[in-house]
Amino acid sequence: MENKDEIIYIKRILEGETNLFSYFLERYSRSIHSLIVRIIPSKEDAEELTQDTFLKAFRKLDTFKGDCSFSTWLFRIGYNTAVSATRKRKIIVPAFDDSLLEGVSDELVDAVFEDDEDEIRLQRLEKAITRLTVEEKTLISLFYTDNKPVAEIADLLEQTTDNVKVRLYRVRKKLYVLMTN
Amino acid sequence: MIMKQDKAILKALKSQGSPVLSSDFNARMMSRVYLAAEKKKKRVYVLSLCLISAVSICLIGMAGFLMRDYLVVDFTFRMPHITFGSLSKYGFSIYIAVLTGILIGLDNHFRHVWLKRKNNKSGQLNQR
Repeated sequence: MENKDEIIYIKRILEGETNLFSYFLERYSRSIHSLIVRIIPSKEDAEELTQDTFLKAFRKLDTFKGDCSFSTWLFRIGYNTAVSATRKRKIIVPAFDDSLLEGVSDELVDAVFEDDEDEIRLQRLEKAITRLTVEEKTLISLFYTDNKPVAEIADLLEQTTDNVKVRLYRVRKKLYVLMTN
Repeated sequence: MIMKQDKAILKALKSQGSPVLSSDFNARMMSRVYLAAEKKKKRVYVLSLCLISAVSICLIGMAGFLMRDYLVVDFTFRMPHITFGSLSKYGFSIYIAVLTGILIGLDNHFRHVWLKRKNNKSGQLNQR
């Protein structure tokens, strides 16, 4: 369904046809949940936060102006809800020395991540992903798993596209460093 | 973009398992949404009631203040003088009845037109 049609659905919901909200639930609940579960490791908490996200979206539906797609707006609510939860739960991410990234070349990182056959390396990579910050995890899961374009990610995280690209390159290097050390 | 070829990262992310929502999630969520909608309606109703009450009280107070201090009003109510010849006994009642009939008719007509338009609009949306 196009964004235009989603806006018509939103208007109808605001006019009192609450049952139409089930359409958005069926369409986006899984993707919102998968985003939150990558930020909040607990399955129960992630489900609760998914509920909170949709409730917030329903309550604030009248503030949706249509200047971005509904999915971007919803993902932004989900992301902010999950980030607030990490602050409340005081989830601590290990510190990382940024100077370690300086000696890593993009070509080396490209070569390492292009190969998905080495099981030991994959295990190390999985472990490295768990050591990323909330924002970094969100960034790579939106880009690789949800296959979202950089422009949409930038819109969602309220950053410029250039900034998102730079950070994506940086996260790849960080993953490489975390894998090798 | 070269990063899209990072098969290892994609595989590692996928192997972390795709999360599954409980089967009744949408149903539970919808019941919470209905509750939130009810609360929203109630809140709007209470707010508008408070607003109307506050405005009414202000207007009554202002009217009382103006009447007491500035206006001298003759409160005697006078009906307009209407004569209907031989039917003068029932004339006024007939006049009111006809007027009421016309107003009800107009209300019914416009309501009918509005409903028709609304149904056409929702019909078009459902066809999509």
